[in-house]
Amino acid sequence: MADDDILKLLKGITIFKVLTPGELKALAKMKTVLIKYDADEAIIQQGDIDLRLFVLLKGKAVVNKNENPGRILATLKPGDVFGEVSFISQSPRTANVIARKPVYALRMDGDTFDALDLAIQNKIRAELIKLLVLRLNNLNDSIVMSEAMLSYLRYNT
Amino acid sequence: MEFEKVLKCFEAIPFFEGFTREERRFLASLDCNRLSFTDGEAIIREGDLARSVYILVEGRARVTRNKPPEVTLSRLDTGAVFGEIALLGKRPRTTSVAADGPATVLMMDGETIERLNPVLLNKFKNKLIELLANRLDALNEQLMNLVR
Repeated sequence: MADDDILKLLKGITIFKVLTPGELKALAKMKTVLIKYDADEAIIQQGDIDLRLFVLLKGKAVVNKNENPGRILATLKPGDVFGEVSFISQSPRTANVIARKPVYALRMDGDTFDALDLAIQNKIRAELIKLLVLRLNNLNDSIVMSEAMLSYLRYNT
Repeated sequence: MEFEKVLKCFEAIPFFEGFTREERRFLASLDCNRLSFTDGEAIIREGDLARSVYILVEGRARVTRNKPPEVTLSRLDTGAVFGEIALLGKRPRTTSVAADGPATVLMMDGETIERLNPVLLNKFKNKLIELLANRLDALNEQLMNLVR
């Protein structure tokens, strides 16, 4: 994929909005590939050690775990970033990401990320951490709400 | 608190397993306060601006939100590391943590952590991110069990 096309795609992604035009250009030079996945194909496999970051561009994917594959933990749509946990912490994959429809995704190589200017790395890491904290916060909200609703139901039925 | 005691605590805690002996010794040599709490006493208050990271060395703790306070979001056991969200996310405390029975913690100052050399700081932050990811996992699981 040409640098210019990648640059255009990267510009539209929220977590990269913090970068200056020059930094964005440097990021676009990273080993980035646009990959197509067929429906039901695994994009990420739990337990694997791969440090790549993905941006879903087209299609739909779901997150599940080997322990209970029937349980969908999250649904990913265009614009969503995923794979960030291993990308920033270099730990094995904690869940599977599976294409539900044919998926086009941008895949960024974790090793080449480390070669980027430290300022760019830190900005992106900070954005990814924000994303994680936001997810955690939303989950806490949902749990508080569900628990409150359940105890209301228990009390009133 | 004495260096040897802190080091002994660190060596017993899974969080510090990924660090080399030298790194562990260095972290244990940093300013670190040992604080004791009585049952129900607040260790962290939602909304506070502090950035410290805590290690639960004795006892247990409960994580809650101000509203509604009766819902327990999670329980922390001896060895747990917590308080990482404020440090990583640079934001006020998102939840409260209170002692569940008598509890003792080691408090690592956020600014001291931020001043670590870049390599060690990155390693420390990576461990905290793993912690965050594990919490996400546990919460997902908890929520699934609730709504099932």
